[in-house]
Amino acid sequence: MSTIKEERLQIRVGPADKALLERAAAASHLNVSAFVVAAAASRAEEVLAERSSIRLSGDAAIAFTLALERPAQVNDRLASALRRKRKFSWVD
Amino acid sequence: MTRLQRPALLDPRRHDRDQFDCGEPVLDEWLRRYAGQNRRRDTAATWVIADAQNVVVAYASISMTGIDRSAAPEIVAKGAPDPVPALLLGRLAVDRRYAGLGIGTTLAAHVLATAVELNERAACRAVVVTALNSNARSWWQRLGFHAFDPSDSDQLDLYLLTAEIEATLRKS
Repeated sequence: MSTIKEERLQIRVGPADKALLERAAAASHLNVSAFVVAAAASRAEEVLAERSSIRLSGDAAIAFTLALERPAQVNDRLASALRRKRKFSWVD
Repeated sequence: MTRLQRPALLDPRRHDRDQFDCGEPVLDEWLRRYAGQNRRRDTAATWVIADAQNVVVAYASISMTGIDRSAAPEIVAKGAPDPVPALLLGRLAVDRRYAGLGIGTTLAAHVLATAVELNERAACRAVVVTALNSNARSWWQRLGFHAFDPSDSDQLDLYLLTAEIEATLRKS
């Protein structure tokens, strides 16, 4: 995902898991670090994209509740995005 | 001019997704390998826009979620808050070769209209997205999405209320 790699993540791993990760990395033509990051990123994306619950912080929960209670308003940014001309056409 | 088919639910037998390339390998991989299976498990529905030859050029995956407000003592004090039912637009990706045509906006608009329909029949009070990075967050904000926590600039979870989507669609 990110091309600038300046953050470190240290993980302890048992010998069996390490051997498994090394074999899988070799089979994917990646080094272990790249393999672990790619696999974890894929799983992270999946977890976030299909959450059955979204837990808000206290501040966010209050802000969201106030927003729900306000009368519905036209969203100007959305309105102008929807007005923008499409540069493609439908087949039908 | 590029000619495309209107948004449709992914049909693994009809839609060709082998060449899909949005520049985010995780999203390419998900469409190629998991999208069809996922539908069978009924966790997420995948909508696609394909070209005339059924090659997928954009996709969105959506699922139902609940917004949990129990971290706010002030709200809990007024009575246990039920989770707010919402639509999670978990993934939205456009093939790089089709960037800049307004396809992502069109597919997002389709999902927003779906939320309005759902809200009429059951309850779906908001559409939630999780931006994978700050570029994606800016894109959603240009579409009108709000950060759940405005004080947290790294916040990647954004929402639109179904009520404001409805008010906006009615006007336009």
